[in-house]
Order: sequence, then structure tokens, then C-alpha cells
Amino acid sequence: MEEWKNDILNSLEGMEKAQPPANAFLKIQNRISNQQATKPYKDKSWLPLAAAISLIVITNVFFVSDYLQKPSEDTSAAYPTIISSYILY
Amino acid sequence: MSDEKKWINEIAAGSESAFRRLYDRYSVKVFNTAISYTKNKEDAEEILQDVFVVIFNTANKFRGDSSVSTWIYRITVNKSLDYVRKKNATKRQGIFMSFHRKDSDELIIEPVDFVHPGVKMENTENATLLFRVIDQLSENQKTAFILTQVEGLSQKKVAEIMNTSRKSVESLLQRAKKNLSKELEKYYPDRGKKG
Repeated sequence: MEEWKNDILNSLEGMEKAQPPANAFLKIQNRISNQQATKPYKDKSWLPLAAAISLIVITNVFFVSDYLQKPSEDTSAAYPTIISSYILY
Repeated sequence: MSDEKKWINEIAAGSESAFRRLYDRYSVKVFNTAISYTKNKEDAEEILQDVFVVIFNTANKFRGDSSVSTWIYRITVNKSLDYVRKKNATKRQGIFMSFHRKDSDELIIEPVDFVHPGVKMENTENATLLFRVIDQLSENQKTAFILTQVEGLSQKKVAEIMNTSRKSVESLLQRAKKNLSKELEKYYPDRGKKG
């Protein structure tokens, strides 16, 4: 390899480290505290909707199961009367 | 358990003092790795912030399979590569738009030469040329080159960071140097004829 290319490829030898800006840590802390400040609001925002949906579902399940149970009781009670009233002879 | 792993546990529990200790130990390394990819101090600072926010947010998920330094370097390399990809996509979009706007007087601005702040005075010109051609390397070759040549990490350490074998890193590094050499010839055909 020609010398000039070697010189370029080795030009980073003995390089010193660059220092990050002095206020970088403060900016990181601000970003973290900002995200923490917005988190609880986001987390709670879906709660009222979830509660409303749950209430609707539970209410519907209650009424449907109640509705389905009532006719079965009525028909079983009504059978003897119907049967006794149909005397074919 | 190492000091650094203890700090990570403390950070997961919300300790700011442990976070500060980790920052003091790694901020320079993260910043210098990022600046080699971005070739810009402001963007490197943005990546530095992103990396430490990720560390704070995911400290509770750190399993300790690798060392803390390997984990931090991985986050830094991934963030830097993401940044470069986004920047290149924006640049390509800009060029595409200017092709389609025939009446546009928009100039395609070549990136300003990057002078790494830590380079020795006598090497400034050569280092500037080197950083100009580094972008022509593939992502893996670039990472192997930056971590070994700029950051001064061992091939074994780089293999851990890149999740590959030491042999692969050695091969990536050889190919990177060969490609850089070719690029230098292409960019500066008259350079070798001087003197």
C-alpha cells in the first residue's frame, strides 16, 4: 500500500477524546422527568373508557341471562295445565 | 456482581446518583463513538441523550448476559446507525425532489468537512480525508473500523458488541481498510503523484 494512504488510514492514532457538552446530563435528566410527567396521564386516560365498557358488558350479561332463565321456569310450570286441559277422549 | 451491574440495578430502582456515576464513566465513550458516525457534534449530543434515556428506561430489562460496557456500546452503535440511515434517507429524498422540480435553483450541498476535535494538529488534513471516505463502507465494516481504530477497542470486545466472532471482526477490518484504500485512490487520484 502506498505511503500516503497508510498515513491517512493511521491518522487517527494518538487521537484525544472529544468531551460532550457540560450541560448534556441536565438535558438527559429533563427528558427523563418530562417523560415521567406525561406517563401517568397517558396511563389513566383509558381507565374511564374501560370502566364504561365493562359496565355495559356486565349489565348486558346480567339482563340476557335473566331473560333466558325466566321463560324456562314459566314453560315447565305451564306444561301440566296444558296437558291436563287437552283430554282427547 | 460488578460495580456497574449494581449501578444498573440501582438505576432500575430509580437511583439518580447511580445514573450519574454511569454517565460519568460512559458519556465520553458514547459521545466519541456517536461523533464518528454522525461527523457532527450536535447530532452526536442528540445520540448521547437518546442512549442515556434508553439506559434509564430499560435498566430493569438488563439481564446481565453481557457486560454493561458491551450493552452500552450496542445501544450507541444501533442509535448511531439508525441516525445515519434516517439522515441518508432524507438526503436521498432531497435529491429526488430537486430532480423533479425543474425550475428549482436548489443546490445540492456537499457535507462540510468534518474535523474530529481530538485529532492531533499534524494529522488534521489526513483525518479529514479519512472521515470523508468512511461513509462509503458497509455498516458492519464501518462499525468494526470505528470501534477498533477510533475507539481503540480490542477485536474481542468489538466481536462481543457486534455479536459475532473475533475472526469475523478481523475479516471486516481487513475489508474495511482495503475498501478505504480503493476509495482514497478514487477520490484523490493525484495524491500519490505528489512529491
